[in-house]
Amino acid sequence: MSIYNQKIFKHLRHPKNKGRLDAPDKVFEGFNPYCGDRLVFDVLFSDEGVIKQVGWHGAGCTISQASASIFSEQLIGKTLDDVMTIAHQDCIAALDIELSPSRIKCALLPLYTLKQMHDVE
Amino acid sequence: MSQQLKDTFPLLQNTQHKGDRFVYLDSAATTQKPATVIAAEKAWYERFNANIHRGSYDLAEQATKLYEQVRIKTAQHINAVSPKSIVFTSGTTESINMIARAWARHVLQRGDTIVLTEMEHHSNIVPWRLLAQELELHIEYWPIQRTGELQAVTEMKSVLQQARLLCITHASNVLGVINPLERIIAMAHELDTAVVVDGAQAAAHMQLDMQVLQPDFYCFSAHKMLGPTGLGVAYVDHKHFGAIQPFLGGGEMIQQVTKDKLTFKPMPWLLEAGTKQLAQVFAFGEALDYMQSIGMKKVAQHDRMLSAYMYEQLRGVDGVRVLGSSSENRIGIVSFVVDDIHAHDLATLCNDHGIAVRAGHHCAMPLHDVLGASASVRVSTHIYNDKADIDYMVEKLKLIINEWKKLNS
Repeated sequence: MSIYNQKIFKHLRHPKNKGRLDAPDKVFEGFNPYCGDRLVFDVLFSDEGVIKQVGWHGAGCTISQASASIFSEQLIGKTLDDVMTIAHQDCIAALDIELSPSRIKCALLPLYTLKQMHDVE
Repeated sequence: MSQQLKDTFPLLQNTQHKGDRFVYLDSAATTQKPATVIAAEKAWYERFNANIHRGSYDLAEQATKLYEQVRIKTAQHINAVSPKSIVFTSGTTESINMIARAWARHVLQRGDTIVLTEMEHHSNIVPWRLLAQELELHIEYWPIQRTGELQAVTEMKSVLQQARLLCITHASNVLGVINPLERIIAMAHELDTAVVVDGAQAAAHMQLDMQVLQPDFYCFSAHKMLGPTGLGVAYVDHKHFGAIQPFLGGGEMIQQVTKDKLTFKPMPWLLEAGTKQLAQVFAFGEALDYMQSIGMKKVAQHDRMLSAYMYEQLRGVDGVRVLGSSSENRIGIVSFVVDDIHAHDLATLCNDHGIAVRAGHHCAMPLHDVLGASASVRVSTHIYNDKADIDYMVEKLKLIINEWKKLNS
């Protein structure tokens, strides 16, 4: 089925870090105005500002949901400054699939949510 | 419709696609163009191009005549009393924004109420919300029922009575539902409420009659009517001509400019500042001729037949929830959601079979909120679609749903 590989389905069936945190230090919310997808990331930091725990939720397509799952794993152990340096190519590469320009926006929604960006800048 | 008719649309023959065949089912976004319309746009540049209402040489006189002839043709197409009611714009969005700025801004006052329906496209929400912020106006929403139809007009009487203006779509770009506009406008006028109609979808599929409907303003786009992009129409009832102020200032709309005085041309030229879309207007005339040669009655009949068929076929697919619950009274638009498969994924998987459908909120986020769906798949048709297109789409949809189930089990 075209762009949908086993990795995507694995994350769809067993999403990592999906759910809300009880007492997050910071909450990030992102929208994709093109399709209406919405993601929320709850983040808990250590005293040193390192991300200890992540919980994400929201409605979206397979690509944005799988990307959120993969991305949430990458966040653990990073500071927010580290997160700001993650390139969008890295996020796309992590999915192991070829995406059309409109679906790239789906894959990048988790990153943009954390970066509080609205589109490729 | 016949294969012969389909063949008059070059894109449908030429498009590179995945899958066994190419099925274009996104006409609500924009329709494909017949060869005659494409040829007309080219012919303008090769044979007729000169600026209108300016030069006194033959070519310019002819250009002016051809442009104004399309204004007359457009008026006839929608049975407007006078071509002076036809203003050419860049599209429905600009038409509505123009009415908000050139008319509503000057006649509405602080505290006035505008009524919008829950099924409006953003283009018939945002201009009014912006105006409401500026003038401190109230916005009320006309709710839809669970069937996807508007709440009965009689129940809205007290709201409409308080309102100065009702902004309403003739047909929903998501649900396909046709609103009973004749009754609604009659009631609104009885209550002294003006009506702005978003006809972007309806104009493409229905025979319009301004003298029967009697809207104050009616807006539509050429590119959804087999015509060129970048062009639209605002129909303005002549009773409002006196209240209209300039929208854009510049060439064409001016009668006289001195260092301390400005006088403007009358309607409709008052609202046509700058050089207009000359080649596109000319090609739009060809699109109107094309539809008239088939007959708008026939276009509408084909549309109703196909939308009812599409609705029933989609409703019969396991796991599909069609938005709106009536196959009657809809233009060729059906939107649906599928359990466990996001609309975007469905559109991508349809594309693998050469099927072009739209996924998302279709610029109607408030409506999707009301329907409890974050996104939907929209299938929309025009004159070049037939039952075989729908059968192919439904067959592939079933296949997609089954494969998806297998992959996820």
